[in-house]
Amino acid sequence: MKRATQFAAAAAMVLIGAGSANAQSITDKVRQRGYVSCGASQGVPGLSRPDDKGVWTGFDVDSCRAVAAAFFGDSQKAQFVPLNAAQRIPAVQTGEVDVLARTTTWTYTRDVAVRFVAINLVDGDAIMLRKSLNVGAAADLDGLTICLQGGGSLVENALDLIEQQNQVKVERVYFDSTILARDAYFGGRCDGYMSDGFAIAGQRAAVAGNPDEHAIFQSGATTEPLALAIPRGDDRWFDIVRYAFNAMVWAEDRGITSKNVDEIAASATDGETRKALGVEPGIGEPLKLDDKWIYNVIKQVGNYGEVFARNLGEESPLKAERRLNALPRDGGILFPIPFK
Amino acid sequence: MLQDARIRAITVQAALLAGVAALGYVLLTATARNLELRGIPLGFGFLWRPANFQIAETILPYSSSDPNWWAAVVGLSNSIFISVLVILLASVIGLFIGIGRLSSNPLVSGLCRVWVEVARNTPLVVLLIFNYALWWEVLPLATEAWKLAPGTHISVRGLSMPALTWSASALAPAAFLATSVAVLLSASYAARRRHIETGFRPAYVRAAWVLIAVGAGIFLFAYRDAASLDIPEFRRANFAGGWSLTPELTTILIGLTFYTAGFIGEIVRGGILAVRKGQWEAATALGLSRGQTYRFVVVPLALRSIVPPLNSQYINVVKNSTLAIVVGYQDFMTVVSTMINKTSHAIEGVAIILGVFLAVNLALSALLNAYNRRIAIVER
Repeated sequence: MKRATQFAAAAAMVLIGAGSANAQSITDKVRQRGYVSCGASQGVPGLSRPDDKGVWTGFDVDSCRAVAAAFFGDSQKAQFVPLNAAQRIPAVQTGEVDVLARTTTWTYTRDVAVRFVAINLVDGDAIMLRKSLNVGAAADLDGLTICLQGGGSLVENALDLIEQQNQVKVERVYFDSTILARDAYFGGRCDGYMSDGFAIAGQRAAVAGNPDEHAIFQSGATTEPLALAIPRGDDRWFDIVRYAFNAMVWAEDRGITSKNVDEIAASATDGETRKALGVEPGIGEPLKLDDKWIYNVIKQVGNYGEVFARNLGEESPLKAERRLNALPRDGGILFPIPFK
Repeated sequence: MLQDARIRAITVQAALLAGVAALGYVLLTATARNLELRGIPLGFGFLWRPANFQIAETILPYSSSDPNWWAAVVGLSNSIFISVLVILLASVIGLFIGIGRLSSNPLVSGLCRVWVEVARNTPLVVLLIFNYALWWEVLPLATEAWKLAPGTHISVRGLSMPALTWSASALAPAAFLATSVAVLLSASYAARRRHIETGFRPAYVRAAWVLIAVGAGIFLFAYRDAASLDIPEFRRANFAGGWSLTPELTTILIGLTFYTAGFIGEIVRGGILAVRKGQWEAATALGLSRGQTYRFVVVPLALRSIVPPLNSQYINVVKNSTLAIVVGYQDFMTVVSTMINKTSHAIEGVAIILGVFLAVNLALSALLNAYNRRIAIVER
């Protein structure tokens, strides 16, 4: 009898405990866990993919590492969960990941289910096709077969739009992973492989046997704001993610890089820079972070331009252009929010 | 009163019920509270809104402007289509594998054994992906497709063959078929009655076949302009027109059938081994050949121990059909997941998936249980 009572008491405590644990804020949960759980792709070169040593690299990965650098002062305190297109939003809704950095288009329907924080890349759809097919315009796609990831990605809609606007009919083969779709294309099952522009450029540069055999067709049917997302319900976490990303953009605007940040911190005379880099106290206080948090992001991850160049731009195999993903003075739409 | 066994039993039952109800209440309220905290609204209204996504290959007609519920039905029809085909194919093949494993021919029993071991010891996903990759490892590109027969080609894009198109009303051939079947059935019935009455079986059935053949000739002549062949043509990158079998559907059918047939083979072997030796000997004593022994004695007896475990294999086929998307064939699970992604109604979507699979599998189970009762030993 005594044992039964003890068991009942323990069961009740577990149930009550489970109820209150769920009410904990994301910020507390992440601090307690000791690392940021990031939602990543299943392996898109240049954006998020484990390298041959198993270390995740890529532009989206660095966006999430910036959050870890700001929050823990250590960009390595981030772990990555590979998610397919259909899994990603539920993974954020249920709090399985703290930050979703996985080429996810910011849409109204999604934004009322999760919280989009900041646009980290602006992209459009693209189709990789064999050069021998000579596709120069959307009308040339008629009757071709396209492999792509299904599950409700925005790229699917782009293909619908191309069909409607150009009166063409395209056959599709949908997969649950973009990797199998890509392999089926390279195997000859499809005439084209469709995804986001940067992802396509990455697959061609890193995976194609001979990249020169494949052309990339950008229809311009859609412009997609790819953004970082978090679960709803924690304004403090929202601030941390937004400003960790902003630190990278702000640093590029100020000409601060991972290499010269120490030098600039030592020699800066203007109040905003001195305070932002933690030379003068106070920048960490509103977010309950260390005063060096912006410095840590820049030092450990780099500014936006450095991160782009390393993963997608001139220092990477992709050699992608920045286009809209540049500061306004360079013809882009990246706006740094002042740290004032 | 505590001594009364009946009252004690009722009290225990009531306490158990109250406990289960309390647990259910705690779970439900906690879920509702957490959903509210995370701002996840509940409701099935989304089912009546347009789906706005396409499905590559469907059995039923579908367009992306159809409502979500119809998309789910179309997805379910795809799932049921592969499940039914795989169940039929795997049962037939499994029967032969089970018998083959008991064969005294070492080549036959060895091959059947390899099949069973590969099927039972390989994860299904690996089997499917391997099977799918074989398409482009083995078969040529569409431009160099192998010609199997006039108008029939096989390549990495699948099998493409001529299709029969019918421009007149579909009622005419349907009526002809129905009449033929009716003639055949009544001829066979009449022949059996004569057989019982006189001990002599008249050739009514053969006469019926002749009648049908003459009828078919007249029918084809009357409708000679309605039927035409739609022969696939190569256009730019692939064959268009005609009838085609995609690599995706073929892979899931072959892969799942191969896998399931291995398990069914073992069930059949077990069932046959459970038939007593005396039955075999009795059949031999009657002068039945080996084939006749299997057909009239062993298989009917073995069915009694085969059907119950077969039931769970069939249910596994339905559940395993959700792996079809791995090789690019969109099943029910994929369609509803897409819906979840587009509408963010995850809880409802998962509830629909669970409910539908439960209903389908319970129905399948009920069907097989009814069959099991029919073949069970009738006790008098």
